[in-house]
Amino acid sequence: MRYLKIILSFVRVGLMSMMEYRVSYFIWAIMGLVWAMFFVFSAYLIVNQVNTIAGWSRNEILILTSVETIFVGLLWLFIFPNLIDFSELIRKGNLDGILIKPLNKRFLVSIKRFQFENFIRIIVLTGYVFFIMNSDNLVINWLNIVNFLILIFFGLIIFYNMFFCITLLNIWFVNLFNLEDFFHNILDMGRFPVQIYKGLIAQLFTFIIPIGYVATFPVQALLGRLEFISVLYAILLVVLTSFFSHWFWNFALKHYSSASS
Amino acid sequence: MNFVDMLGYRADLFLFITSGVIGPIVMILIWLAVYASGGNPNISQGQMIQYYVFLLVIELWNSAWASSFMATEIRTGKMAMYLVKPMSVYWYRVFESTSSKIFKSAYLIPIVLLLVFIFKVNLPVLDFGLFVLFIFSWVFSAAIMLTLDFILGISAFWFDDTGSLNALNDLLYFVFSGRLIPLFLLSSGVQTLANVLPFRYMLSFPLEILLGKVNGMGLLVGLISQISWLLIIVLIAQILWRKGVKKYAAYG
Repeated sequence: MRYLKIILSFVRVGLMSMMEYRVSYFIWAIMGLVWAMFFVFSAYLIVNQVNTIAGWSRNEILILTSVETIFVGLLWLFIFPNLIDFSELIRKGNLDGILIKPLNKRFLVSIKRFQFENFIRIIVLTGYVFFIMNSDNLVINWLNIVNFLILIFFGLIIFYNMFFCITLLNIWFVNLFNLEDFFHNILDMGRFPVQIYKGLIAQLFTFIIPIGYVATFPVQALLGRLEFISVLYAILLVVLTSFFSHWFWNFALKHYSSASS
Repeated sequence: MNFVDMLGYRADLFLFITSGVIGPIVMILIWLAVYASGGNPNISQGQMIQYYVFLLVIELWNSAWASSFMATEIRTGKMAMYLVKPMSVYWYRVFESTSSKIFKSAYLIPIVLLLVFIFKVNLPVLDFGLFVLFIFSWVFSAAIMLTLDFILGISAFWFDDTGSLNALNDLLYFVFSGRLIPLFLLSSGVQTLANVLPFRYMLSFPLEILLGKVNGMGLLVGLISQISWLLIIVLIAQILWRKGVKKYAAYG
């Protein structure tokens, strides 16, 4: 398919860019890794005080925090860079140049940049997750791993759609400077099991910002503890967010006024 | 940026405040779960919540974001325009960020009051002397933050890509300023390192005074360290500024 070929050439560009600016990429890769390790280390400090928190054992929480950093790493691999570029396009009024191209417009603004330095932290933290599971004699079962990957995949789609919609707000609010920080902070809420949130906040996180899909539910799948309803809800969210973001995208385009005209 | 401009940035303001607030609130909820599960770090639950709630206020007033704007101005040549004006670029940035913070406080204060109400936070009781020291320490910490940010901004005089430098600073700050976890919960080795670096004196130290976590000899040593770092950073800023401007003007 044409689109697949285009994606592959973007991947190639990303890799070539990495080869050319090796030092810079290396530095960013290390920093990403240090950030991830710091979050996991602080989770370690926090859980060291107790045996279980909200029904999660110490090692399980370490796994969960690691998975959150992997999720964020994946977002930085190929989703965030494009959202950031998209913001810039809107703010500088250059979206027109993209819109007249003969390809699906949403595709063009969503998949272009690949930042491969994030592979380092994704791989290292994945290794760490397996290490913990092994040392804790937790069962590593292929079916669970597949479920885990499926849920991560769903999570990526859900958050991509949500963040895409928020990025679209740049069309009306021209001065949104720090979406990046904002997205990070939202994802931060997923660093610990969602079971620690009770009451009103729990409702918020179930229905409005489904941060359970950042790490909690995938890890539950990995540990074989996932409830089927969470999967159903994930599918529902994927469908809902996809339809809404598609509708919102078309709505936004109609309101888009270019700086050049 | 003046008051009128600020009103136009309402959405950005909302994002900024929300971003700043989520982190500490999430930490509070996490710690509450820890305490509920029987954990017992050497600080009471009440104090832990106090730590993060007051962190919000202190961090807002210490925050500095001019560096990326300054770097862009240097790179695009716009900085030359400011160099001929009679007001120092540094103080311009300080005043500008102060007026912005007044606006941001308007958003933050209701949130803080809400948190105080929900979590039943007590206001710490300090004797007058300690309170004065706290205020001084707070002002020093803000000065260190602003000046360090200024240095990061003018690093654009020499470096094309200031992104990595900024990212490194962000990382070190996040770890060593007590932003995520109170420094006094870390192992003694790490704490010693944190006491030597400037980041503790940008956030944690005034908080420690406020919560009574440091007094006597520790307080004295801490204050001396903080003032020393302030002087060092201001000195570096002045030297780098002069060198940078000379280099910059040479191209004009």
